[in-house]
Amino acid sequence: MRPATDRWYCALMTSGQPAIAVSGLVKRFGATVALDGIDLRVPSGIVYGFIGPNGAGKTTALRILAGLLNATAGSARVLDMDVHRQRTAVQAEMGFLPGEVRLYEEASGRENLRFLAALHTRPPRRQAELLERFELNAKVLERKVRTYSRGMQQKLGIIAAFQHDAPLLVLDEPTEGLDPLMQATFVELIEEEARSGKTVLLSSHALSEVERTCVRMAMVREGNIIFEGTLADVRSRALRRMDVVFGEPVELPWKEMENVVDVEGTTRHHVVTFTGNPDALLRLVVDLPVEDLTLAPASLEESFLTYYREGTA
Amino acid sequence: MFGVLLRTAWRRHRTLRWSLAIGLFLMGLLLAGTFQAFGTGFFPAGSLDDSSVMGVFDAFTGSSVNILTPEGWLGFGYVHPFTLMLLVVWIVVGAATAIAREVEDGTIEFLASRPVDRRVILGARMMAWSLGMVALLAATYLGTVAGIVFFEALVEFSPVQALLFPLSLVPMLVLIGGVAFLASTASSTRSRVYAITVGFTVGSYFLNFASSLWSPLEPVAPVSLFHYVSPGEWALEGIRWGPAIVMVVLALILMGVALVVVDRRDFAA
Repeated sequence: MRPATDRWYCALMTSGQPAIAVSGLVKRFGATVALDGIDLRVPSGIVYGFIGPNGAGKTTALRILAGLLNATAGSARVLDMDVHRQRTAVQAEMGFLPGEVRLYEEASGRENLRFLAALHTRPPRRQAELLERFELNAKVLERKVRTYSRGMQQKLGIIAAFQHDAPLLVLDEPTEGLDPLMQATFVELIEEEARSGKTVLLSSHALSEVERTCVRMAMVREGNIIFEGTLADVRSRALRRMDVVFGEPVELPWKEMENVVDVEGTTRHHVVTFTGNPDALLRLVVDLPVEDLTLAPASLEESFLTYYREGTA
Repeated sequence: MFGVLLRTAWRRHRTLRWSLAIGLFLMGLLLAGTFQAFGTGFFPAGSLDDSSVMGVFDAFTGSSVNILTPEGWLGFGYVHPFTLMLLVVWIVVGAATAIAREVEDGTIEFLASRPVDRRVILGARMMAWSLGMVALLAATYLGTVAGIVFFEALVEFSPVQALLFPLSLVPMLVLIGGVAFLASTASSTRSRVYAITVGFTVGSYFLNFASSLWSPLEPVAPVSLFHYVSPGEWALEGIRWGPAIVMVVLALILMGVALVVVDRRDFAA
């Protein structure tokens, strides 16, 4: 039988309320401003990416949501509960993976899992399945954690976060230290969680990971959110390149078009840099003697860099 | 969850606890044995007549009870720097592990993100620490009783009266523990907890010692918690409730503040 809290979570999902609602969140460490009044709404039942370079404020935001840090100002609500006032109630509905997994090194892997499981209100019903998926067998689990590699500790951390089947998962750089095979296993796991209606907030600077798993995302830079939207929104702002080779010299009014940023090349070979939809550009060449046309896809990485170069959305 | 935290905290330092307990048991045993071996005849007749020599002993023992009496000798043993060192090791290690070590090692992020009230985490660790302290004092006491029986020395002490020696240390140890736990909840490194606790203990001991020997410092003696610790006087005159209650109340206030601090502070590796 599923616990009552899961039924409550289903009710929250259908109510249209966001799983995470952050408003004007500020965090200062002395004179350093880690978060400068961010607003964030993570809808229920999706995988949401939180991306940005090191030191942008991602980890600070996730630590506030997990109840580890207190906000200097602003509010953070998780599953309609105030993170500060209802800390343990929020934590009971959450699986949290810290950015740097640090376990009790003098204890074995099994002892670590057992201890962390005993401190959660939800039983670790997925532990056995996850151990199998992440290839942590009994022999490995009996070893002290200090003998584990970085990747093995990360796997143990992932299992500790997921084993309670919590409706909300907050994961800080979850694939750090995992080999490509385990990264693929992790992505499969995230996809399953998304299909089962769980909410996942995942921070990363591995853009490919975000691209594969997240529906929506927020970009953070220097404590501010500089973009929030879907992956398509991100891509639409990316700089793209179109190479067109004509059979004869051609003059075209590229620079008069709104979304064209730059034009290079010769009268026969045009190299057009643009943003957004290429439809209008293609209409311009459709009746001309085109010998070759190359349209590079917009990559998330390029979009990401575009945002960072611009600094604001 | 309190039970899980308590069990884990109790098991964590079992090797250290055993080592300290053995050391303190042997110390208790030696106290009785050395009194039998040396007794009042250890010092040549007349050598202790000089009041300044007795003053030095008073400064060491922290009391005016004659060191050559059974109460004075055992009282001296219970505040001997070696005994205190073993007990303070337990205080600082137990308290530093409670919170500061978790922050330093980074394990606090998993621990404090579990749905457990932080005060329950600290409370369980305080309880494990207290039980450990009881075990160590019991080991010292058992050593003393074993020495009394084995060496047939200090037979004037009944086991119940001998219990007053370790009991007289409890208020002081709990107060040092209060300082250590507060330091642990407010710090992010073990070394800071060690520095604060050892500094407080050694400073207090030194102040009491110096004020006993140097009259200009006499007025500040009451500031030192060792001023109120006198196992010999407890054995002779019974429990000194006033100072004991003040120290325990102060300790409880410090531990209460530690519980507030741990609930409100930021945790990050």
